[in-house]
Amino acid sequence: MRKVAFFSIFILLTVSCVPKVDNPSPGATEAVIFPDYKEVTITENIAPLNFSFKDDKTRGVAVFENSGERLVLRSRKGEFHIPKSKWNNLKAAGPVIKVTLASYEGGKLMPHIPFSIFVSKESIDSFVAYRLIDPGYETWNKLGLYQRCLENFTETPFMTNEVTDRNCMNCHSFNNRDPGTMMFHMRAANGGTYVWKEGKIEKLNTKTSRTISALVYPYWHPSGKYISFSVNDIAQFFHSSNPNRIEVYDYKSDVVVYSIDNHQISSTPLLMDTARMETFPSFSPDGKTLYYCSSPQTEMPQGYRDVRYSICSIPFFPETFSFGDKVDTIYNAAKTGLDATFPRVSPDGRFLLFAETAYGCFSIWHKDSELRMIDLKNGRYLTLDKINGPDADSYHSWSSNSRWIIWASRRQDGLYSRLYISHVDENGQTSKPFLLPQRDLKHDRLLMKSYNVPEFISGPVTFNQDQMADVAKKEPGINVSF
Amino acid sequence: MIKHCFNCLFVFCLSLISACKYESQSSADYDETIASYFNDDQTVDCLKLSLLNLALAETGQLADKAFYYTQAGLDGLLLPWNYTAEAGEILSDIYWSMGHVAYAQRMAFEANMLDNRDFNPAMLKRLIETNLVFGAYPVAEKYIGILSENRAWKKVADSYKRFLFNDAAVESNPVLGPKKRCIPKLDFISIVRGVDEDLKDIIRTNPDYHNAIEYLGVIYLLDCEMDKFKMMLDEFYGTKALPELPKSFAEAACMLSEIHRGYWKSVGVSAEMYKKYINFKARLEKGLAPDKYKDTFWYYIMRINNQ
Repeated sequence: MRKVAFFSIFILLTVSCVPKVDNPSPGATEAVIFPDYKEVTITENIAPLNFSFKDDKTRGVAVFENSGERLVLRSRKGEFHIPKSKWNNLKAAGPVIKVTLASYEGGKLMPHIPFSIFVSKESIDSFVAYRLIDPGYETWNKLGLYQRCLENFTETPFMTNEVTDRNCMNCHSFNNRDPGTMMFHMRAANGGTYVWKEGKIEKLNTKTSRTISALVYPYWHPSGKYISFSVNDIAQFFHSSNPNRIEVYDYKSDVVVYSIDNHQISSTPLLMDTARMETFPSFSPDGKTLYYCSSPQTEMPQGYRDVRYSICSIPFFPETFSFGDKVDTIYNAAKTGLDATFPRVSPDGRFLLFAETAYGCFSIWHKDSELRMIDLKNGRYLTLDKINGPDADSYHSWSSNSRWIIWASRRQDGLYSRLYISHVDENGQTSKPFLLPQRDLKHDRLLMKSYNVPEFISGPVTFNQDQMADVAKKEPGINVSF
Repeated sequence: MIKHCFNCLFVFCLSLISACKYESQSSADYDETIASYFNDDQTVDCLKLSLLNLALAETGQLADKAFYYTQAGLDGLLLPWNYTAEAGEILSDIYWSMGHVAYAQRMAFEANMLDNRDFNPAMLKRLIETNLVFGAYPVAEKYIGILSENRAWKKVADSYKRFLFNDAAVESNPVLGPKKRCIPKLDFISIVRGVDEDLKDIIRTNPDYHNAIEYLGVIYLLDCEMDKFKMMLDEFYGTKALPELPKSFAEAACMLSEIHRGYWKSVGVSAEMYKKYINFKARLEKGLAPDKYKDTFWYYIMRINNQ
């Protein structure tokens, strides 16, 4: 008798745990969820897309279906947390996951219009590296370089300023997404450029008598033998009544290339033109072309609104560590009347992705900044309307297979950058982006740091930060020559 | 376990006291700051002095009573920015009092970031206020959410929710509204031209906000910038921004009459005040100690000249 009673209670509980969700009626509404994962394209190796009703008082049920795989989840405080194994099964079952949400209204479960999550077979690099920093003004406190496994929710710091006297560190850059070949700068205490390659750390003193500054914005040559840099005299000011809040600008800048083996810098008058400001260099995937941004020299800060960067390119000859003598203009700011920064060519060489804004060099502080692309096969300009949001969309990087991009966007609250990922097909068509999924759905709302300079990497960074701190504090550093 | 609970309770109570104190920051608190200020002729602590001057400004007495106390130049009015959380917090309060919303926000951000706690509740509150004033509602909403996670500050945080995405509510609020009206119509580069130029733009934008002109005038007086002070009077005296001269401004106008004959009359200074100035000068010329004029701008100038 007791067994029957227990079994009856068990059945009752089970039924009540998995309420039936009917098909939506003709008058059904769209559910409002955060993050907005409706109709996004994801990759098979991405972590579960946990989400919640936008209104955290809403309670309900989510039904996930894909080619016979079915998962029913009840919300907890309005949130849906998808178990990883079930998520993996759902993704593996087929190309489209149908999600039907239903919310309780007056005690009755009301289904919303279902939405789809599209699953691409094209995988994504398993990690992304970024800096977590207050989107601040002049000072800094706790900051560091972090890596996040995209296949789960694990985030680990690989270099924080807690071990380096709370200094500033920036401009982390990897060679071809290789976590074993990277560099970054430390500023203020323990200042220098740190190169991690083949298991060794080198500290560099990079200011020379012939350059404007120490080395600044980096990009690795695919051979791993060179790193291109800008050298910049950077300043900033604060607007009195402008949604952009801050203006970061250069008084002057040049582009140089650093040779890792012989600790030498080289450049050409074409990249150090006193009548122009050259910055944000990046190499083509074959290493034969150096892209960079270039603007006529402008009186600063009063002329800050007149600064327009074009994207240019110049041949680079890695065998002889030398440059060509002809500059091509890929994006002509004089013609568009706009401004282009951070050129990044896809690893397959097909597309050049960049940030476009009205003026200036620091697009992350410009609310109008949007990502654009040029098809290098035919020069076609792509506006990428699907991926740009209402606020700044800026620093961006490509996955190894050229099918995914990740970038920092301020669309969530207008200030704190968050990471968005979008699929790019072979014709340059992008999919609706998805916010980097988090285990804790309050994470993005409560975190008072910006995700800065996201770079895909193929695995975790392997150096030890204490070892790095030792080098920073104890070694004088190698003087770079020009 | 009991010890842990006690510690938690203690931290919560401290936080609650802090929240209550900040929430109810009123003219009574500023009066207390003024009343408890110990004026020392010999040693001046710029931090305490800037708080005193802030309290005078917030109670509408800065330009009347600044020189009742031993002033120490601009550093005692506008604490130097030394990249610490403490200085950032005070500077945010000062810029907020001036009506310089952008810099109040900037300093609140710096102070909050430099604070070694998860956040500085008072500065987070300021970030909420400044973002509401600028109409940057999504980030204001974020800060409200963060502040409301702290149980002691939840009530304060929740009180701001009604302003979200509601310009009319912000404009009609007695604290936020006047600040919103201080935002210059034409954007400029903050502080680079000098805080005085920023203040002039704020005054032109919102002449009803008198803290701005009181700070501006006192900045000029503390810095002994008499030509700039006169230019300020020439532009603003008789307008809504400065319908009549507060005490220290009137005293300065008397001094300006040394070069600009009869100037004191043109800016409405009373004959009694001018006579007082003549008496002060006479005592100085006779080599007599003008101690009974210690509360005047003239005495400040004399002290500066003697240093």
